[in-house]
Amino acid sequence: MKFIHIADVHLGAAPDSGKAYSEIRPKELWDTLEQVIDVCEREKTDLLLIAGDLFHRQPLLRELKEVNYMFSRLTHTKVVLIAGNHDYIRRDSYYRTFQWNQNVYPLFGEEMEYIEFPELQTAVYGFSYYTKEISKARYDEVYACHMQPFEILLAHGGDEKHIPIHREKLESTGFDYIALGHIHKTEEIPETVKKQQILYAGALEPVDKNDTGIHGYIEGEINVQGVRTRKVACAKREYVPLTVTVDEMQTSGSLKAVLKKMVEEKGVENLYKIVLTGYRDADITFDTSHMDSYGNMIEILDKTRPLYDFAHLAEENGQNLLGEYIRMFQGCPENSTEYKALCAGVEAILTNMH
Amino acid sequence: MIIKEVYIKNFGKFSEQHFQFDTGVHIIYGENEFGKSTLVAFIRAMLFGMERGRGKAAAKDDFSRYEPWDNPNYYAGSMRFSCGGRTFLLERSFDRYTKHASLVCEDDGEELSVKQGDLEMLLGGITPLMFDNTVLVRQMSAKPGQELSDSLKNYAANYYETGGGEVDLQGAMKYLKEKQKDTERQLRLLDEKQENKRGKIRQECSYITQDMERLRQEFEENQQQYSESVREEARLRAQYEKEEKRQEKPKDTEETPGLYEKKSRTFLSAGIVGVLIGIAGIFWGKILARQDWFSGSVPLQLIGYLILAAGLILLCVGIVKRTAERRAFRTWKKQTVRNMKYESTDNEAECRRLAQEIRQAEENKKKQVWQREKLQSEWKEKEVRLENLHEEERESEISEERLLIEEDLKALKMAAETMEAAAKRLGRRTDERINDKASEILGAVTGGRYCRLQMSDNMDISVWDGQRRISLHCLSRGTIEQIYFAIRMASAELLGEEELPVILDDMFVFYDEKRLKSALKWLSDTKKQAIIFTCQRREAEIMEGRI
Repeated sequence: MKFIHIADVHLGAAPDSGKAYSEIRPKELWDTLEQVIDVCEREKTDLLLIAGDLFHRQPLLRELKEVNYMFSRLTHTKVVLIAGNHDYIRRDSYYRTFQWNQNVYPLFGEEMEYIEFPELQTAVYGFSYYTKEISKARYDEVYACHMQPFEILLAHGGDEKHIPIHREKLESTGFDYIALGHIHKTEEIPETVKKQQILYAGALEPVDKNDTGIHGYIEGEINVQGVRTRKVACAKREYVPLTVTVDEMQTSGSLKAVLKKMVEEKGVENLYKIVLTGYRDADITFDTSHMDSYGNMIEILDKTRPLYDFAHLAEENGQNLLGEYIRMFQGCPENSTEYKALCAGVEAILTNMH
Repeated sequence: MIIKEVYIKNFGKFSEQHFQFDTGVHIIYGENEFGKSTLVAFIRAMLFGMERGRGKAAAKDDFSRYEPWDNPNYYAGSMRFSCGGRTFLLERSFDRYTKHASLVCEDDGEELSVKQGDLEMLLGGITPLMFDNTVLVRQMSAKPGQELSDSLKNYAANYYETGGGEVDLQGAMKYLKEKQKDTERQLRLLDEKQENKRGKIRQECSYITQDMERLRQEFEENQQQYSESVREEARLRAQYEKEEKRQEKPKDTEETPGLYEKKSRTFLSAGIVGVLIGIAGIFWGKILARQDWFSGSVPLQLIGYLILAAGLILLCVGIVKRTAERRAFRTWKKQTVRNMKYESTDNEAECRRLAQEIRQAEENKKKQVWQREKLQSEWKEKEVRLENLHEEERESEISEERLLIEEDLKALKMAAETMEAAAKRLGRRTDERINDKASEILGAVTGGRYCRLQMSDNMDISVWDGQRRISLHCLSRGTIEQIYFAIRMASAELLGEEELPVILDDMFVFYDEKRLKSALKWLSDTKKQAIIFTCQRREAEIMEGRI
């Protein structure tokens, strides 16, 4: 039985994408889903599992129709989905009334339910969110009923406010595969075969600037030997965190050139979160508002510190204001507000020394 | 710095006057209006120059005050002084046409530039205001001004300053304030951006709300139309039913002529009966007449004839009536058939029309239901969208950028506070030095009466007489002046890089003899150059007595 596991597609979201891509980004989320559906069709995947948050908010009717149309094109694959905390089943949700195509099996109950696919010897379990938040660890109480040889659980959550998940409890539930959703961040998953697998698919496309790393879906196969899974990257863009260490030779202009080169190396299609660290020349302040050469920098945080030799300055200015001022900050760590205050004050005194 | 010689070419009441000085205490005695203050003003003007004021103030300023009465064109003078072991000649001309200043070192003939600040350097950077607040003590202005307090603070910031130059505390504080303003502006900009975003959401919300309102109105209209359609249909159906009934059983509008027929029939049957009875009566009379025993046969036959006649009459009437009835019936029938024919055609058309209208009404109803469903679904779509937008509006995350700027702002505030604290700390140390020095001077002047003087940040002054602390306003005028003198002299020592001559203009008026003696002793012991102007002979007598 071959399956593809996706989660957190967040259709309808408008992710932060810099000047260059903000316009087209919402559409790209749809395109990537379509791509996954194409894969399902091509590979004759048996099940497409969607572990919640298919939509970023309450789906509109036309959006559901769009998605349903995509699903309806699948000639072989059956789609099983649950609603997550973002597209939770609100009282007015279209999820309640929408007529899905016959190959789509929503597990939209508030309580655990399952759907059997005897021809696949598989049963898929799951329940949906009816509120934005569920702080009860509801997956601690679930177990496989052994209705079919292969049993899969669709689960959504894993933080304090969204069904805390205890992995060791999940391990003892008896499911062969647990398809998790909600946590967007993904780690590398090497291709493995195990008796049981519990995996987060991560967001299909990164939707928040903190969703760093490579995004995509999990391709898997269950048979009597066990569960074999493989992570497949398919996101169009990636949020790349870049930490750039400057030195006292750096100016705004040279820094801009450095950043441009780095972005070119890592791909201009990606989105960048830049943190500047290190010691800059005390006379220079970087103009971070003019460094986005390709319009794909989400933010540039300037955490550089001016290069002062405080010990030397304090010694040289023993008893005057500068010396006294520096001594008042003695021992403050470099990443503290105090250190910033120290730098600001020293700058103020030095520029007003005649 | 030692003033060696003052030559007044033309200044106030003086012209072509020479005054020679040396180190130590000089006492210049003169009666009132001798020109003591003029000489003081001249020395000050030589050291710091003298600008002509503008506007109204010009009438009262020093420039006008000392403008020579006779030769305004020679409003000038010179001064010879030594400084750092070298002797300089400073010449100035004040009048508006020939205004200039020259400074020459007499040892090597080097020409220095007053404009470039060479004189200021020789004076050790002291400003005219600081000069007025320390070494120059004029009549009635013994109390040092605010300038002294500020100078002391700045001095404190540079206390024991070694390399790097001189710190401008006020400048540094201003720099921080400006940076703080800048950072606040950045924050505002960020907030505005956020607010714009939220504004857009709100605008979209309001569009959707408007749309929803429109849909609601349309829905209401639709409801109304629908109920109208329902009513219309009911009305049409009722009408249709009525028509249908009428077609089945046409209504009797006129009486049928059958009743008349009945009348003629009565006549006819009565006539026939009468005829038959009459004939029977006649025959029976004839039979009886053959039998002789009955004599009444003639009347009987007569009656028979009468009845026959009556019967015939009735028969005739009956026949006439009958004919008339027949005719009448035939016309009625003809009429009725024709009527009926017309009526049934009308009725069918009406029914067809009504059926058509009913179908139309049903169609309308269906359309309206369909439209209502469409409106409802549209409304719901909008409602979901609106709720989604509200959700988005509520999700306001604070960006890391904002946090960073907020921290910057916090740091800047902290920097300003800390700098203030550091300056205060240094200030306290300076205050202590000033207080120590001033206490020493005050002790010397008062012959040990007041051994401790305490001046706080904001120039609140008190003294200690060994037993209690006494604040300034409880002290005599003389003592107060002695305290100010002590502070001025202490400050001059602390602030001035170059020791300047002390110029005292009629300052000892309120001093008693003992304290005057002590003050003069202190002055001569310090080996300062002191120039004392006085209108009393006491000072000179004391000094001479001492010598």
